[in-house]
Amino acid sequence: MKKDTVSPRTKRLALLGILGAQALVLSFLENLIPAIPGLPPGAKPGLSNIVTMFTAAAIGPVDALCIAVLKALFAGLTRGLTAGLMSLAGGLLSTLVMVLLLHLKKNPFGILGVSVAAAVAHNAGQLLVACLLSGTAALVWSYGPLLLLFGILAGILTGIFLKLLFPVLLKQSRFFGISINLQQ
Amino acid sequence: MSKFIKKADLILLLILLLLCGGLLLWSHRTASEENLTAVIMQNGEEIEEISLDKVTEPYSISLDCKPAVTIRVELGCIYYASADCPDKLCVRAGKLQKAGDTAACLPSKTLIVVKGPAEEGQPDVLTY
Repeated sequence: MKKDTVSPRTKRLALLGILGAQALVLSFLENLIPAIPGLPPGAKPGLSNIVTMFTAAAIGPVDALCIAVLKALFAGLTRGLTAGLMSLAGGLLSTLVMVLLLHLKKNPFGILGVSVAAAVAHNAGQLLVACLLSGTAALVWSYGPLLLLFGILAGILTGIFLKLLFPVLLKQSRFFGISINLQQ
Repeated sequence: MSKFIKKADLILLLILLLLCGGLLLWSHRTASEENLTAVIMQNGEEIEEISLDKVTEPYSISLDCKPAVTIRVELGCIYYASADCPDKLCVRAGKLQKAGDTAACLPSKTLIVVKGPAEEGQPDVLTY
């Protein structure tokens, strides 16, 4: 039988690379969707959160944060510094919230709760940066309610996707030789 | 985490929806279409204050910032006419016509806020 010569760390790195690429592709694709009138321009469903949530739940909090930073770097390189900062703020806050909710004792939240909380936290982080950059809190009142509602809806959507894609993502991880232990 | 919905999820959802409704009611209560004043801010400081109701001829303002933006002022509304930023979210925000409407160009650190009548001297928040 052929001896397995690849170290576990390398396997994990390879898997993270693939997951990171998937997050970037999802974020790139959804940016191609034109802005819907009536919604704040730039509001997107946040499909790449599917990957981040899976990573936070199945692989580890630090790995999920790495993916968030990667997304922010990508946004910064392709869409400018401001977009990068917004992505970083939203991504970090969103990932922190995800990790927090997933590590609570007795696991009170299911996929839906984590997903909605992550989406709303993402929007909140971005709104915070927008207020800091423009120097006023007026943005909270004008964009706040709509962002919150849209965040809830986006969270539900990504939650559904994650539920559907979880088995496939697990299979992908096993392909890389990473065995997943999920705390129930 | 493999379960989709648990009780805590629904409670969270409810709280967020209530928060959203509350914010909507609050921002609409104070919104009006008369006596509008537009404030243009750059780098967190007010640089222009315009009474939108008193505009006789539409005009444009080109702000001294990088990326450059042009703001158009008309009777009763104000908006970003053009901008050199990559996303152009400010221009896509459209015309600002009601109190509370805002548009921001974050790369140029500029912002337009439309305020309603008699905002000075009013309490910002009331609790009962």
